[in-house]
Amino acid sequence: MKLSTIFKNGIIFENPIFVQLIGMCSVLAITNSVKNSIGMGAAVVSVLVMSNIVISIMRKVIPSKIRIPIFIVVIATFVTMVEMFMKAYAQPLYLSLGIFIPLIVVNCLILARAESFASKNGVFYSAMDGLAMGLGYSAALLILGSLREILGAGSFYGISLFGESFQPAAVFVAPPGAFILLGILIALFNKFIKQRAAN
Amino acid sequence: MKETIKLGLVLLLVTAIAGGVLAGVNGVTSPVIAEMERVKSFGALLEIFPEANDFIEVEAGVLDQIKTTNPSIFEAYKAVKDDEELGYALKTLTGGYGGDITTLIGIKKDGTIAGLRVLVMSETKGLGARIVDDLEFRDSFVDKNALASLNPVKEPSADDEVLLLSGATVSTKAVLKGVNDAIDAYVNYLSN
Repeated sequence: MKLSTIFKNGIIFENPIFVQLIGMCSVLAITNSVKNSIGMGAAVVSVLVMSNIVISIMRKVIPSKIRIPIFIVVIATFVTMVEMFMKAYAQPLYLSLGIFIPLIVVNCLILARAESFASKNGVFYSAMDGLAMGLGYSAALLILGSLREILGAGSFYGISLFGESFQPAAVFVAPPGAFILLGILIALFNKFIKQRAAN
Repeated sequence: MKETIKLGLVLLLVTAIAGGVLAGVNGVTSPVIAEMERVKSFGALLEIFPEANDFIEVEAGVLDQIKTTNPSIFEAYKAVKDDEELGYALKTLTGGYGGDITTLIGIKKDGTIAGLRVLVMSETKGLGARIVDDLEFRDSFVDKNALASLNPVKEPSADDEVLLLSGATVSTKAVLKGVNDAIDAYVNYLSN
């Protein structure tokens, strides 16, 4: 197994959002600003890397009949840890992400990586897979979040870009805008991947 | 049967470890979280007494005494900085134009007003609601003499005059009633 393959798959060819289309609920909800996108991306990357490491360590002693409940316990533990630290040291972010932090527990991206990768591979590669998939997820969040904030609020990371006269299209920070932009991005992304494959 | 028990025990072990880890993390983060909650609830108090590092609730007995003569006062705090008394902050509830108004009034130890914040109100937008964020109105109270009642005037200059917001006479007077009640309670019960 090559590291470059793991990263290429996580970020591009098996991108969780644009290709696998998993973990979409929180993506649609929290990409209304760049700040939220970065915060959510960081939370998911840390949970994904840590749960992949622990599950990979335990993979030989976990009885296969109860592997799913054990995966969920491990994931929930890390999510709760992230939630506590965020509440203590990054409260504005904690308040703006709200319910979507505890909901990382049921983000199918994390369970999917535990089941399909970490439970079958060594610790190092599992950690790298978690990092690659997490980065792919974060990159998608950041692209969607930037576009939505620029078009829908006329700002980037809370900094106004166009001055007073600019009338932002508020639909883009609202849920329908998320669906519209995500659809366009998925189409463009898949066109790019198909072209790469054809060459 | 035997296998079921074994699986149950494995799951028990995993959840027990997870619980232990979380208890540890909680021990680290919960004091930080509690401190932040405290700072947040003291936000308005800190705006009035920015140099204070603690606010001690006035004893229930004293507060009950205050309430017998000034029923509009329902909370009182002593602002301190490293055991040194800076002054008192009193919360009052008075009737405005659109409903009750909760005002927090700070009185410094030297007998002048430290500041005031309107915390809750439902006055008319653009008129009475200016009592919350009209800085000229808010600042007209600061450093005024807090040993006698204040009077509302259009152009305050004297030590016992504060701004009467035009178009918001009822709201201004409601806030002022709270301030004067607080002054009265301070003079009679809290200043030494």
